[in-house]
Formats: sequence, C-alpha cells, structure tokens
Amino acid sequence: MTYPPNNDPYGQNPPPQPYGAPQQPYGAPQPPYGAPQQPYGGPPPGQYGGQPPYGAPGYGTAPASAYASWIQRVGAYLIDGFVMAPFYILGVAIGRSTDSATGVTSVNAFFFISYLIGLVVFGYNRWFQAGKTGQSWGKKALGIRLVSEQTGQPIGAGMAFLRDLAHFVDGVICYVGYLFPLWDAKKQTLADKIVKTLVVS
Amino acid sequence: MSESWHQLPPLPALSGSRGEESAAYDRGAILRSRGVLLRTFSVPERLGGLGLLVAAGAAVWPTLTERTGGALPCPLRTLTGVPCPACGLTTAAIALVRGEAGAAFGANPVIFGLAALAVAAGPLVALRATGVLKPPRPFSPAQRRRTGWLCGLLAVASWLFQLHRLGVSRSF
Repeated sequence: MTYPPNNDPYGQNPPPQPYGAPQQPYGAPQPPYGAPQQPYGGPPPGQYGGQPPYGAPGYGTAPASAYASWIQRVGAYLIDGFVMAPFYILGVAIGRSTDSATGVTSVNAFFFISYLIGLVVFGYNRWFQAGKTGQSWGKKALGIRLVSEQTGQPIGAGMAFLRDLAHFVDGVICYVGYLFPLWDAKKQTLADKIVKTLVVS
Repeated sequence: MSESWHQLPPLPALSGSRGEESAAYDRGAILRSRGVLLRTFSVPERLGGLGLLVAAGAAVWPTLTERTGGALPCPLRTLTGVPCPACGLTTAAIALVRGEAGAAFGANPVIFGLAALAVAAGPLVALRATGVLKPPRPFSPAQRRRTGWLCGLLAVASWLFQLHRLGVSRSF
C-alpha cells in the first residue's frame, strides 16, 4: 500500500502545490516529450481546473472530513457494547434461580429472552442502523460515520453485519487488528480492509 | 484502487487564505470543520498513548480478573493451540507495572518497546506543543514501507519467541 493513498479523501497531507509556491523559472529546462507530466502524489490533470478557488463562497461552509481517530472508534464501540448491558444484567438478575434443595443455580427462560432481546437491539443498532445511516448510536454520539471506501455512502445492513463478522480477524491475532487504526494510513481495522469501509468524522 | 467519489483532498472549512492553509499543513496541522486548528498526532505518539492506557489497565486488571473470574485469552491459541506474536503481553504489562522487569521480559519483550513509547509520548507532545521540537511530518512512502518491514520482522521475532516460550516449537 502506498502512503499517502492514491486520491486519499481524508488524508492529512500537504497539498502538492500550494498557491504562491515558486514557479518554474523562464529558461529552465523543459521536460522532454513523453515524460510523465504528473508528479507523484499530485492530483490528476484538470482536477482543480473546474473548481472555484479556495476561499471562494461555498467552501467556507464545506464540511472537512477526516478519518476517525482510534480513540473515537473505541468510544463508539464501547457505547454500542454498553447498549446491551441492561439486558444482560436483567438476564442475570431475573433469569437465574437456585434450587433450594440442592443449592445448584440454573438459568430459566427469562435469561435467554433477555439475552435474545439484547442481541436484537445490538443487531438493530450495529447492523441495521449503522448500515442504513452510517451511524450506530455509539458512532452518532462520537460524531463519526461508517462509509464505503468506494462510494462514501453507508454500506447497508448486510455489509455492516459482514463487517462485524470480519472483526473475527481483528480478534484472532490477540486483538491487534483492532489497534490497526493507530498506525494505518486510512485508520482502518483489518475488518475495514476486508469489507472496504472507512470510519470518518 | 478505484475511489471515484473523492477526487479532491479535503476542503478546509476555515476561510483563511490558501497560504495560511498551506503553512498549517507544513506545520503538521490539520484543519477541522469546527474551525479549530488541530495537530494530528504521529504514530509513535499514538502508540505511546496506547501504552499509557495499557499501563493503567494493567494496574487494575488483576483486581478485575480476581473479582469477575474473567480473562483475556489469545483467541488463536484457544482455537488452535498456536500462540500469536502478541501472546504474553497482558502478563508482561502486569509484571512491568509491578516493577518485575525480568518477568515482563520473559512473557513478551515487546512490552518494553511499548513502555518506551509510553514514557516518551508525554515529553514529546509537550516539547512539540511548546515549539521546542518541530511538529511531526507524515512519513514518505519509502519510510513507511521500511517501517512496515521492520515491524513485520519484529512480529516474526516475537512469534518465534512465543512459540519457544510456550513449548510449541519443541513439539515439532
């Protein structure tokens, strides 16, 4: 993978050629015909051509996006996890009973019902909500969004579900995959790379 | 990579001149939508921050596991019996915050790298914030590639260490 990534939308890299930078002096050697015109990391030809200049009306209010930081993502993940906590606590509180004769603790139907409701709420939040709008409740609270790397749009419930399945890869290597946003150029986990998603702020 | 939806770099929300924006980038800063000029942290600073979180976690982790009976097993080792390069880091972190350097090294020496970054992160950020040191600049592709290879080699070395420590290498 190259860094910065090609056409990186959220990269925090210096622009290739700021206005006011020294121009090619008169009389300087010209590149030969056939030589590459585009310097590495620069925008494709004509990219800026049709755009109004920076500072022009409209750009002042344009939202500037960036990759979400690791800590933001952790916060969102924790909030999404805590959403299930009441159901699990309820399950443990009312779903367990102890046999007075043997003293053995067993679980009853309330335990499984509470866990099932917790799973449904988790699925609605992490897969349906996050897939449809790009924001689970945790991401919404932290002001970050899950989008497709290719389209920039929310990825849909199915892909959001697959992404959570792909988190298995992040976990199986001692959870190091979850740390990838700390150093990755696009701040992606391995699951993000597998399903081609970005988390942006 | 086909990324058709974003052909332009991020547009700055500040209404400053192009020169200011360029200078901000040169200082290693990024422009955020709320109009606040923020500096992005470098990878060593981020890892140092993680190291501090790990140290805080390692200080309370034994109490937590004693009360709840929970643990943080290596999924790869649980599933296959083969350790991963990061195995032993929980033990090493707990040992190191207790000052048991020998035990920490025996569990996973990589923890010393994380500890070094954790110790360096605070002063580094402070020195950069006060202007004594220049703000971080993004690595060039070549630097990034080299660092990636080095980290890969470190992971392989750590894996061999863990295979040996946990006796997997002796069973072959």
